[in-house]
Amino acid sequence: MSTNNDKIQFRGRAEKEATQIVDQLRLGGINISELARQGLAEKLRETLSDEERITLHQQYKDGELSDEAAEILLGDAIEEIDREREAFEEATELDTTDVFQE
Amino acid sequence: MVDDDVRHPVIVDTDALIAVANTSLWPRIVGTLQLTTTNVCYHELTRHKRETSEHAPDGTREKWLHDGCTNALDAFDDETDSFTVVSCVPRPHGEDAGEQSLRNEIEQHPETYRFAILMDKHGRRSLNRVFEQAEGTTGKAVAPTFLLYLLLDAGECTVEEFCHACGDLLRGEGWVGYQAIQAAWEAIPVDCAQYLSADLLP
Repeated sequence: MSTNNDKIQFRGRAEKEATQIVDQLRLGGINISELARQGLAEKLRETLSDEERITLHQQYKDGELSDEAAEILLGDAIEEIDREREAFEEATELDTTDVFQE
Repeated sequence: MVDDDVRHPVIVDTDALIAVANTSLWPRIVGTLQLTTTNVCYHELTRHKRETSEHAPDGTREKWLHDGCTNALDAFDDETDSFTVVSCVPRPHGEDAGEQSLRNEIEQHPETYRFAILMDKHGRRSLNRVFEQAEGTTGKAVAPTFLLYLLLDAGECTVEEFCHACGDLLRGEGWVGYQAIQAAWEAIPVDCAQYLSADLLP
């Protein structure tokens, strides 16, 4: 449930004008909040450096980052690490004949 | 280059070779494992080596590419049959040619390959589908950290050496390398925290 505490406000005269233009252009308007949420999430992800991503993942592992925030910031990386772990575990079960030199 | 069509169970692509050939455990891999790559990947390594300078500053992507390619090519150019290059027919072209050449190889010789080592996660996912669809074989596409694991599992390196090699991968491959390392550490499982400095592992 959203409360007033969820609210993000920022200044942007030209952005507001551009948004209103598109809103009026479309029958039924546009969902400005939804667009802003998606756009912000995308931009936040883009601005992170490798080191920052690693720091954030460590925080996530230590329980210092919520699942929702981690999903926004790290995208599918958490899922990807899980998937790779499973593949890795399955690979360790396979026969290693001829993998090593005589 | 040994091009006698000897196929080992482990096939490795260009980026994975560059990654592991930059680690401190590469000489051990060369002396212990048997690896196969394709002529397409071999030529990608040659091209990267030619297009980068050995005098590039330490810590740059260019230096990483140059050193990785040089080390990897040396191993395949050595006249032993432990590191082999197989010719891929028809020869794929374009940006994903290396990955595509592995895919062709596995589709044509599904019974031969058990481990496909790729740096790119999309490539691994795609090759795992090939392994799943292939009849009469069980194979897996995994990240380059698996080669380090093979040494560890066979007692060819210590946990400390394994962890340091993971640190090398982390330095050179950044976030992509980190994800592969996390997955490996969870799968094995192994704790490298005591061996890696805090700046590598925040």
